[in-house]
Amino acid sequence: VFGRLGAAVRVSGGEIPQDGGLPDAHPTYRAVVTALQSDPGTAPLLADASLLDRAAYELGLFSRLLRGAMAGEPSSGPASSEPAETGFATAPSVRLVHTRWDWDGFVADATLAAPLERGAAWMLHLPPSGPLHVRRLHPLPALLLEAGAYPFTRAAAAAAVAERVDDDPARIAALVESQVNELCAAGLLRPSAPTAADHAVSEMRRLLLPDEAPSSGARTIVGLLSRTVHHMREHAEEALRAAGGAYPVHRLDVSVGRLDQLLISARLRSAFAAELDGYWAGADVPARVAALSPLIDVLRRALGGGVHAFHPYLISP
Amino acid sequence: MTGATWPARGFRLPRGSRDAHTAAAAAMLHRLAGSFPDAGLGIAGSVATGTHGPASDLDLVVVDASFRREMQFATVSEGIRTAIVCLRPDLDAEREKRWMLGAGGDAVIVSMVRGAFVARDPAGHFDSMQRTVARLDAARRTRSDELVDLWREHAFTAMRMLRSGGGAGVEHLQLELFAAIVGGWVLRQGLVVDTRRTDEQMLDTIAGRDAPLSALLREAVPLTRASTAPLLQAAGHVFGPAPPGE
Repeated sequence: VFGRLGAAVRVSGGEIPQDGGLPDAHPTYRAVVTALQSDPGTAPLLADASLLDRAAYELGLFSRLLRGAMAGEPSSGPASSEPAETGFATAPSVRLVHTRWDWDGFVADATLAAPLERGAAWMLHLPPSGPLHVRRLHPLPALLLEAGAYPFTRAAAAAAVAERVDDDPARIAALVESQVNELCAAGLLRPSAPTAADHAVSEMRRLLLPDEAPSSGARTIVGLLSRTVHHMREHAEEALRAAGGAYPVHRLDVSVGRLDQLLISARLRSAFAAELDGYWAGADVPARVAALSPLIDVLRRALGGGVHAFHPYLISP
Repeated sequence: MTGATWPARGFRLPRGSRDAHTAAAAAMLHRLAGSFPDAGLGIAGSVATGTHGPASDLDLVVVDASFRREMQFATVSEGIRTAIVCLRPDLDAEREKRWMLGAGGDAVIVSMVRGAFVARDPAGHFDSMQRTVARLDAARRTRSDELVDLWREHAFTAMRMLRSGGGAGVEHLQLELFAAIVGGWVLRQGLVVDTRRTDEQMLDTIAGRDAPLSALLREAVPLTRASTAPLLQAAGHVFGPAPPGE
């Protein structure tokens, strides 16, 4: 795709630190990331064209950590046994990717000079073991998995779909019911408390009260990572606005220092050495933030969103 | 507040306007009171003081003796991002020391407990925690020399490693040294960093009280390889010269 768009990707293994046990594909990934930064004019197109592959690779990098954090989580049950008022939430192992252009169609049709601007939804699923699954989604499952970032009920999902689709409400409700059951059976949606707040209280009871401690190492790293990322963009914007104000600049340094340490703990620092070293070497705040921004995007994609974006983490065992 | 009468599942809210944040707090507190009937429930941060804005998070503290561990949760209540810090009412000696130093992540928890608005406290757990923090604040003042010594140890360790080159982690050593310098200076001045606001204002406070230190710290920000020299000078300014061999 890059070739047909007139962009070059040069793979050089020499810049990649070899101490982190990184996949063989890492130099290619870094070359694609570098190509995205080389021409601001074509960057949006190239970024969209490579988004799915980058997201899949990045999720693979974080797979050991995320699987560790998800270990011991309750598995999905049959949706039909749940009472009607029960909510559903997308499984923490699912990530959605939306591309703006139809790259599959572009690749399949050599006569096209440019891709059609017809968005596509993709699902990445990280099962407890084995390879990552990547699947293109039809609109209804895409809508339900997206809505499931926060718990929803069948009735709420049917109402949301009815707002977008002009059809018989009873038929829509039946379709939603059937699709929810199918996604639950596949482990992609999970029965949940009906709201995010109820889900949190339910998690508190599950994790705080039993004598047996939940697995905590990976869970805590993921929880701290997601919070650090959540605040880091804010800190970066404030540091840029502060134009030399010492505290906002120092607070961003502290945030990045924490991120750096967390990635070392996760044995992932070497995968993002270019971004982190670029930050610390940057002469001024704009240069530092420019070096850091791609890493913030990677972390947001890999760590997920909604009720699973902020994993509970252990303060004290 | 021990001995106060608390409604079976009721709670109080801070005085002031009833807005989306207090509605979110009320909804979450109602759920928590129902699920953890003996828990002390507090509202911390800007919602407790009424200084929140539309984009503010809601910070809640739950203290319960039945918790087997301490964890932080995050959720959304009535559309407002909500953090829930769950604590046990007891402290061990090591944690008391960290709380007195106001170091690392514990500093945030201490600040949350200290400044929390107590919404409900049927078993007196929250009152007990706030009295503990008050006791540690007092100890922080009376034992400031001892605590400054602990920060000095941290600082000298970081300085020794920085002087030997620091390796790949030079920025982390600089961050540790920066924290030790500010922590030691705050104790020497008899100040308590009790909220995020005062933490934000600390560099301004230093500028107002100690111009030479302020100049060195500003020279060190943002942290780069060149920041080591002003940080070493700042450490000497706060802690005195390093002992021979350091």
